Amino acid sequence: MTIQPWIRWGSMALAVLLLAGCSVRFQPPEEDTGTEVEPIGKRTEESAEVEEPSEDEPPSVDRQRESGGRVPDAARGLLASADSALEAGNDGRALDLIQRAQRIAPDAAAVYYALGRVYREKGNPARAEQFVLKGISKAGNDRALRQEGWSELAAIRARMGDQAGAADARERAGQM
Amino acid sequence: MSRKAGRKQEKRRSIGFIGLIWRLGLVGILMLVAWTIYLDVQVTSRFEDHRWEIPSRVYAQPLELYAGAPVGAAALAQELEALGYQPVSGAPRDAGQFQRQGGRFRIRTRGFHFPDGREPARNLRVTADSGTITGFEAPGETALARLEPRRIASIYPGHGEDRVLVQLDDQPELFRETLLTVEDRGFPSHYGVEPSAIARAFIANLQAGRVVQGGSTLTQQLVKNFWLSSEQTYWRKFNEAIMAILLEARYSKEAILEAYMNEAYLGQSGTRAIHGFGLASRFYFAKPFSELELHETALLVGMVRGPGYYNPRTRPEQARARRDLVLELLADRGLITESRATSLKRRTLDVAAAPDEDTHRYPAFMDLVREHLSRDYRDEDLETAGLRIFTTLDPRLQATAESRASGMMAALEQGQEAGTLEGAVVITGRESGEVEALVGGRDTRFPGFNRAMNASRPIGSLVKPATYLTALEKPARYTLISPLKDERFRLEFDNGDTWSPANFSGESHGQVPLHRALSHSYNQASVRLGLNLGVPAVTETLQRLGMEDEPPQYPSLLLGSVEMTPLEVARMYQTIASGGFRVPLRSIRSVTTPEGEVLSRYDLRMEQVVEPGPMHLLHYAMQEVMREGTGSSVYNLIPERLHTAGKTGTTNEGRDSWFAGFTGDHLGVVWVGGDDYDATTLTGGSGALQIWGRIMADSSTRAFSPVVPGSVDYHWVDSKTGGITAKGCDGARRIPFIQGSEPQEEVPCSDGMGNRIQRWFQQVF
Repeated sequence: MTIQPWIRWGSMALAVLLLAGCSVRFQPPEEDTGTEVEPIGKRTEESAEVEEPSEDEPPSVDRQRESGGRVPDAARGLLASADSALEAGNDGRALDLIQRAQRIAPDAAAVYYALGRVYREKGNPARAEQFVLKGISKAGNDRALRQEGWSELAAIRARMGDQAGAADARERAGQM
Repeated sequence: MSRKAGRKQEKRRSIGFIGLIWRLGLVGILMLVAWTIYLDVQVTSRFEDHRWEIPSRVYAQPLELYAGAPVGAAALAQELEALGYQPVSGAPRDAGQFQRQGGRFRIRTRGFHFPDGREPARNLRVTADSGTITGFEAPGETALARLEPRRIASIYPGHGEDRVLVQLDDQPELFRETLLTVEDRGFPSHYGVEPSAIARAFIANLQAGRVVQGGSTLTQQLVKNFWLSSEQTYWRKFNEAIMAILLEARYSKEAILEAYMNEAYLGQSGTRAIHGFGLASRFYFAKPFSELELHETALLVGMVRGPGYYNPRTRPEQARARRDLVLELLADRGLITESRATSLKRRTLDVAAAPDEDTHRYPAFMDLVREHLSRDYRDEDLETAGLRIFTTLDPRLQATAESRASGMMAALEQGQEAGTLEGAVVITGRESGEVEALVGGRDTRFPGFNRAMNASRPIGSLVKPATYLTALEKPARYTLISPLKDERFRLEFDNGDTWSPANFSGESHGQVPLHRALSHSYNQASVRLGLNLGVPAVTETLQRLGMEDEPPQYPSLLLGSVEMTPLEVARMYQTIASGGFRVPLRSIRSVTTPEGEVLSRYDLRMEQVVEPGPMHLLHYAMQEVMREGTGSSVYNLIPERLHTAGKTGTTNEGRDSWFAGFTGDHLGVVWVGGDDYDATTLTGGSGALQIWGRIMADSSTRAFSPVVPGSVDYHWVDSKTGGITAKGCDGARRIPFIQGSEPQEEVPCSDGMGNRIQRWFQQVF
């Protein structure tokens, strides 16, 4: 029991050294494992000709950027205020607040879904559709976010009279 | 003729004379009444209207403060300074003050009426490291706060009057007392004129034989400024007196005082006249009227008598003597103690180093703002209605872009004639399309030729992503690993002309995978690909991405013979940067009335024009440009972790050096070249990219890390055979494919011992 950790840590250290000499740094996106998508990353794409080693970086930084679901606190507060403004019938204020949130968290799907909701409420489904599409493009492999997007899209398209598009969106939502 | 008759005649004559006098007098009185009525109409119309011609105010985007915001301690301090916040050593007590200890700030904000509501004045505690806000505390549950936006410009009418309106409530300590002490002690009780003062002045003027002294009350001064010329004649003095009496009869002392505060003439800046204490506070002290300290108030009030003579910037000694005299008057009247007067007299003038001069600070960006405004507003309204225009300019990023562009252009033209190289920069928000910075040339203060908006130049290889995107949208025919031939060829046209494009290096590379042909910008492979797809198909993609005009349909289009301005390039690349959604570029967020009512809003809009799958593949190749291709030198400038995507462009003989690319934060387009199309030794990578990289190094913190769309899968591909292989094999590369377009054949690992050991370890752990 006293030797095993030595072997374990030693071989891990060796593995780390070998890995450091190799070009592989980032894991490929793992499907269906969670709400976050790994970055495309540089090193995974490189051929062996590129030898220049780079500093390791905390992968969490990239993961945060990859996530469709994460909304920082500051932006979350704005989205909550926007919901209240929308309920109170103040579309303009809701839009201002969400656009402020969008500048803080431009990669968060939730921000675009929120814009979609405002335009749907304002009776502008064509514009709402585009924002929901944008949100879906940011959802990555976050099932819940994707499902939310496709369901919303189905409703919007149905309202626009686009039955085929609505059916397609419903089907995709169902696949999640 | 009898005596009687003579007397009668005399009597008639005298009656006639008196009658004449009487009639003349009557006419005179009638004329005076009529004139008075006329003057009364003049007085009331202007005063009731209460509408000064107020220039529109143009604001930058405000600095948002929250935990995680990309704002370093130095940037925050710089912003506070630019907004005229006073550094204090203890806890800040008043709005507009801050305390800094290293990266820790305590800020007492002023509050601001934004188009979306009022941002209250707050006490903030902010901690920041070199690039990020790490701690944010505000009263209540607030997770973020905005500082007030910087005012970046005003849109003046032709005659150059300027004003910042203030109200009685805005008066700083003892302002009213100081003003009345110096200018009109009888103000609370007189009726507009003070006969004793006029008599005194009259005698003095009589003795001098001309008008040397005014006995003017505040009311008279206001009348003079409002309605009359500054000509010193008795007729004018007469009118002034009547109008002053009328004004007093009709309006309250308070209303007159407030009007005076906004009307007083306090200096000149070029063609711009400085009217009112609100603007003067900004102009001389770079702070709001309400924040003036008493020695500053004393100076401004003292200047009313002669703004040119007592100008603290050009005649500090006279100004100081005048200020001290005012302070002594306050002490004499018992308004302040002698000791306070003494200590205030020891203060320096505290005049801001540079006047708060905003007419030509951002000429290039303001060109864009004016162009956008002209769609919805008339010049006249912009110049006089006091509109508030909230723009997208990021002043910190603008400053970075200006200094990096100017500095680098000087460095790039080493060996050439100095001053011949010009350039332009456009920076936008990657997902918002907001124009955050715009540089129109080397001399960033010169309101001349705006190259960002007006220099149409051939775009060179910046056109290529459109060709490759056109291909990648056909996954059945093209993938990122489709082999392309990079070999010489010759096109013969119907008229007998021939065209034989060459690579920049002059070499051909044989068969290359599609992603490498783009990342290394191989001309021959790109033109072959474009011709296979058809020039019209590539044109259609260009237009979908945002090119507005239809380019000439020649094969040379495929190498970027089409001319575009940097702003037009930005419009096109915005669609790529925002993942296939066309996002209109905006320079304005909203326009409000002076009272804050929103007149126009320019909201974020977008329209999907490219499917996420092909766009993701294009992003992959454009990231490769930066890591392995023509843009790789950027990593000498920016941190390794900052993923970017972009494309270089060079035209014949280095006449144009282009770069367009993006980080997670910003899209940037840079052009460098000579106005007269002189050849240079620059390429897109050695010229424009060097500016781009430096700007992003200073301003960008988020990597560009696109979300993998559901329609795309990554596979390990053997570089030699193009077959699917295993992770970690020699020459294996992870490449995205639109589902169903991945290679079908699998190839065994062609690798050495090291990789096998590595894979063994990967299996173990």
